[in-house]
Formats: sequence, C-alpha cells, structure tokens
Amino acid sequence: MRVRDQAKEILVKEKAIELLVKDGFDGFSMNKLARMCNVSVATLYIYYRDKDDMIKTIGTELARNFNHYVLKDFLPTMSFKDGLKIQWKNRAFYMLNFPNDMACYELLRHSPHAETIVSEGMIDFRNTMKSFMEKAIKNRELVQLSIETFWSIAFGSLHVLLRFYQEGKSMGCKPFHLSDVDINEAFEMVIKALTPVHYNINPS
Amino acid sequence: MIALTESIFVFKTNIDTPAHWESIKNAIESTFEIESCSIDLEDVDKVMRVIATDIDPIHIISLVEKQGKNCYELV
Repeated sequence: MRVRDQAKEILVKEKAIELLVKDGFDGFSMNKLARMCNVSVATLYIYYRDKDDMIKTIGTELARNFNHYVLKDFLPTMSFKDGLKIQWKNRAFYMLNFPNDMACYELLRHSPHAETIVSEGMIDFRNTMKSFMEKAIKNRELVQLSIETFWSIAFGSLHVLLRFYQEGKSMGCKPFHLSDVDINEAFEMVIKALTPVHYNINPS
Repeated sequence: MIALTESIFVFKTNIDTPAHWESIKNAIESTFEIESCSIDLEDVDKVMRVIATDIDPIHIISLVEKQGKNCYELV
C-alpha cells in the first residue's frame, strides 16, 4: 500500500513544472521525473493516474493560480484604465516572481491538453473579463474589437518588455533593463490605442 | 480527489494493449469492491493503480496472473 505524503506531492509538482519547461511536453516522462525527485516511479502514481492526468492537473492548477494573481485587487466595475493598469501590475508581478510557473503555463496552454486546462481553470477569469470589457465598451472607454485583437494590443507589449527584461537583452542582443518609465510609456500607448476617439471638441 | 482513508496500490505489470487492460479491468471491478483502477500503458512499467478502502493486494496480483499477465506490487 502506498501512502500520500504532502511534502512529496509538492516536490513532485515543482519538479514536474521544472522538467516540462526544460524538456517540453514531448520530452517529459514519468521516469525522468522520478529520477529528478529522487523517488521511485511508483511514488508518482500515488498522486496521478498517468502522465496525462498529471499534466492536466498541474496545468489546471497553474491556470487557477495565474488567474488568482491577475485578478488580485481587480474589479470588473473599475474604469477601463484603472482595471487594465492593475492587470498589468499583477501580470508583471507573476511573470517576474514565478517565471517557471509562467513558462509552464504558456507551454501547456499550447499542448494537446489546452482545452481541459483552459475550460477548468479559467471560468471565473473569463466571466470577469467579459463583464469588464462589456462595461468599458458601453461606457465608451474601449473600442469594439475582436477578443484576439484586444488581447494582443492590451497585453502584447507588456509581455514583450518582460521577456526582454528576463533575457537581459532586447533586439540584436542589446542590453536591456526594464524601468517604470518603459512600462508606463507602453501602458499609455496601449490606452491610447484602445480608447475611442471622441469628436466632442468644438472646432471653433 | 482521493479520500485520505482510501489506500492506493501501485503495480508493475506487462499489460500492454488496451484490449488486455479492458478485460483485466472488468475482472478486477467485478471481483473486488474498489474505488477506481487505471493503467498507464505509455509507461515502460505499465503501471496499474488501484484505489480501494479494504483490499489485500495479493488477491489483485493473483487475479491479474490468472489472466496471463505479470503483476508485482511496487512498495
């Protein structure tokens, strides 16, 4: 009979994330993971049915955790600019403090298990964002766009800046240090791009 | 979620096809009172996992062997 051990379960999860980031979805195996954790392969089966079960469970947890951080202090009733600013701050915090978790989450979102991970781990997040965007469009704080275009504009520049920062270099291997000035400049450009042009200025 | 009172038994087997597994799974489920049983056919050790509250693993091993397959408990 095998006995569950919470400390070991946490170790298995941490090492699984590390291995997925290092070797990718196809290079991941239960044997490699067991060696990394210094446990027998059988130990892994106390916690998970098989490799697929492990990846789905870890991916769903990462999604929930990511969404928990992103939505911290955020309310869908906030003004568009204030709400987006909080999400930028939260996303930057998560990406800089949990780089392995973020890399693993991104990897699993593009794996064959993406549908399970996204549908089980992101329900609250999707509903909250839907409500936030609908309100912003109604209040004429946000232009009407497809969700894909909105997402790429709203968060694309942040993700690129953070990636440059994590790599320590930008294009052409130019050394790069991220400052609040860079972040604020990019954020203001995003707000400008997403805010409707109001023709309410009297030309005379 | 597995309740803490349940026991998890893990076995190394040589069950190698979904058809074999289907037949063995049916035999286990109809013979014993178990919570669930599964197998990782992708793993080199074809690890079988049985969750039950009150069972002697020797009986599971014996049943799998009667089906012509090897089965060892991993402890």
